[in-house]
Amino acid sequence: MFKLHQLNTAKSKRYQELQFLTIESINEYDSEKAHAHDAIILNIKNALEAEESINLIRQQTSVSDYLKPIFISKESLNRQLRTRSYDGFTDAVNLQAIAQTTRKINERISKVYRTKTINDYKQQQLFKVLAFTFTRNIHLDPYTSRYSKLGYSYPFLDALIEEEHSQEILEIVELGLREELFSGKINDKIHLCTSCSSSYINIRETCPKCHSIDITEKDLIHHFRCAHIAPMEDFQKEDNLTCPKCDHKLRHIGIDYDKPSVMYNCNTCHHEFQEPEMKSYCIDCHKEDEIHHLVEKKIYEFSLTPKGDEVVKYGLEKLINSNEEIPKDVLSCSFFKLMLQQEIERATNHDITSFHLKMNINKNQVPQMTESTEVGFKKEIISIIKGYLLSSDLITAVSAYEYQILLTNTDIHKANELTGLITNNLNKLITDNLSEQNETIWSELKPIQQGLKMA
Amino acid sequence: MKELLPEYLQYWVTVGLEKFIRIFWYFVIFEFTRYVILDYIVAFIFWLRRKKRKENWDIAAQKLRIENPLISIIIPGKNEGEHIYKLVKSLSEQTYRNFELIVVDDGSDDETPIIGKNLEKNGLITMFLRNDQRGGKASAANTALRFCKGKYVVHLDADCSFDRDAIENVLIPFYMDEKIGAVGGNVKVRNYEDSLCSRLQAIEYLKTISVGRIITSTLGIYKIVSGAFGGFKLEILQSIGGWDIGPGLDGDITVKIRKSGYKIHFEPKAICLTNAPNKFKKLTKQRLRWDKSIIRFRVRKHKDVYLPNANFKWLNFLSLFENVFYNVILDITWLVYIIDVIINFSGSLKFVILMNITLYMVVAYIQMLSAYIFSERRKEELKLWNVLPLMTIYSGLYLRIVRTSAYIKEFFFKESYDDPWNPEKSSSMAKRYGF
Repeated sequence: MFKLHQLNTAKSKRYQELQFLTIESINEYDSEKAHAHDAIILNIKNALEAEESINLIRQQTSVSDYLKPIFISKESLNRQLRTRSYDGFTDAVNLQAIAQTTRKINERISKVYRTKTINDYKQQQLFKVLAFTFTRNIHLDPYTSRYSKLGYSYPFLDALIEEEHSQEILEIVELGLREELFSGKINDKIHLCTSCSSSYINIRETCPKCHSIDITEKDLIHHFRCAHIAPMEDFQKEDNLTCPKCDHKLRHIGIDYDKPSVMYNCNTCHHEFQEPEMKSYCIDCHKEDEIHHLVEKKIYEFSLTPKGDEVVKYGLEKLINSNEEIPKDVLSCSFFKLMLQQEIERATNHDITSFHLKMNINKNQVPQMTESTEVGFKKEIISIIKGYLLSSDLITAVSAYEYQILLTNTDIHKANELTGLITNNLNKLITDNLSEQNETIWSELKPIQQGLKMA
Repeated sequence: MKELLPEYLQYWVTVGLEKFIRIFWYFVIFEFTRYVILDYIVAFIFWLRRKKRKENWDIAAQKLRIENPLISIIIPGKNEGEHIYKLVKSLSEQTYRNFELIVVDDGSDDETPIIGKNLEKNGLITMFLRNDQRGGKASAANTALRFCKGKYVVHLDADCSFDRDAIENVLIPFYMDEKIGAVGGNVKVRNYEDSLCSRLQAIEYLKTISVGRIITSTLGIYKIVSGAFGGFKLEILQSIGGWDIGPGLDGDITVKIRKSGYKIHFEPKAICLTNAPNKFKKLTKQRLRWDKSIIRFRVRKHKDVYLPNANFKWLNFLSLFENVFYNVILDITWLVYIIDVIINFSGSLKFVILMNITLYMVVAYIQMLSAYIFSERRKEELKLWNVLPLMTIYSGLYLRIVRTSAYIKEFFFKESYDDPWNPEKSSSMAKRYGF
């Protein structure tokens, strides 16, 4: 049996078909080198350095880098790790178990869509979380953490997001929940500071007049016999309670007297009141606030939905925004790809003529657009194209400048005519708004047959 | 009836004054003397002094405006949430502005705490105090008293509304005579158009409060500062320990203040409107409670006022005696009178009853005329004149029966201690210690 401590001395070690990279210092991490290994073993004594190393790995951009299985040599650690973004310990199990975990993770990593760089930061982070959840085949369960400003953190997200930006953790998982990529089961509710989003809030009773916290609570006493009511201190005479109105000794609560309510006394402004004002005080940024102003957030236990699963396998791309903006009958690229494959099979086996039309807009010919104007532009182009299509035809938008259409059950004549019509009209629409009347639309029509690929 | 009339007139022409007095001794000695002759004499004196009073009033008003003291308006009650907002709005219209408003919720089980806390939060109430465990009206008023900061305390009922100058007018008398310890406001019926019951009470209030209290106040024997609207000096309230357990705590505290050596003043210009019960069943319940308190407080608790001791004061004696005499003693005397008439004048009973009705009806109009003279709402109150004939039955019979019943219940059975108006814990203690 190959024991774990044997790894400590080796930088790179092979076990069965697997290559493990052992790192003893953060400086030793090299993404290219890591890339060539199946898993990483952190044999770092300093827990802080170990955490930084994990963060460094998880913050990589390449799928195979940030999802790399990480194991910790627990024996060497000087304290418990704050993060939970690793896959196990090397001292608790033998290498066989680590190898098994590595294989399982790597097998699932191979199914993850190698996405192009996602421009939207939150979407990019969300994809990474989805991919981590998928490859580890786990529920993303929150855990309490005094190191997170939220008081809660999630595996992987704790390494991905810096502690001071922990509010982003909620934004990312909420985005996943909203887009139905995650399903959530509520675990807790937290209240965050309106200024710094910290959950380290002290709730204090304050004077409603001067907001001082120096207030004293005192019981009111009601003497049944003479209907006198006053704070307890008025009745106190040495160790006894004596009514200041009728000089009668109060012996028995419930028979002689009761305590119908309490009063508060402010030792700063001497205001007397019954309802102290509840104020929150942020331990982190020292902001004092009204309780009802605090931001309430739900903490969920997450699990991947089938849609989330699909996103991990086929890519996120513009799915999130486009789903909100673009009509539902516009297919995602991955789905269009599947449908195209199916249509090729259908056309080959059933002697059907269908066409694949690819249309590109010369990006240089249109004014530069922001992300949101691009969405609007895309919506407009799609609605024009769809005006010429039959309900059985399929369309996808690869980007704002590239559209692919599947013209099903049509002949070459009709397909050509349609291509010309769409090209001319789009050309006219775009060039009408431009000073230079250059060709802006380029189209390519191909029959559906074996060997055709979606570019 | 038509045949009876000449015979009836003939009987009275021939009966002569001596026999008239013999037959109607009760009316002549007690009712006519007290409620017509004395009232009109005092009203005349009141009228004669109007110029001097006006001068004093203006000087006092000036003093009040210069000093502009903080006053504490206190509103104790249970389940009064629905009235509080209206009351607060009504008070915001007052000409006198320097007041703090303390509302005490005596263990309400409706939405009063929510309403009160909101009003406090929005600055419409200075202090909203809640006793989670109900302690009764006196304890609620005493809770407010403990936290009052004003020089004067104005006690209000939550379902009342006020003339714009009511608070100012209830304060001015304190600056007319420094021996005045409490000032009673002029409580009138707001809902007099609701029913016959409320209309009759409106007339009764005009007679007994608006006019009756001017008379007793002028004579120095005014005996009850209404809980619905009254002003007090804070230091006096504190020195007498505030209110004792009711029902009838407003009359009780007035006697306590009198006994402390202070004068009580009635101010007809400090006008407050309240809702009177609009059904006789409800009215009967209310009056039984009020009337029992005469026995409990004026006969039993404050019996020392009648005794010749070191603290004996004629005005205090007369104040309570007048009240007890005209209510309790005359109720018994009235029964004696009825028996006297039945035994000695059984032959002419029909004429005696008819004459009695005639006399009381005439007196009702004479009294209403005095109310009309003193009133500042003459036009509205003209509507009440058409039900005046019924006042003979209302006050002569209905109220008398209710009153007699209350006296018997309280005198022999001390029923006021079982009244759910107070929580049992307080009533049992009051009963044990004879309060």
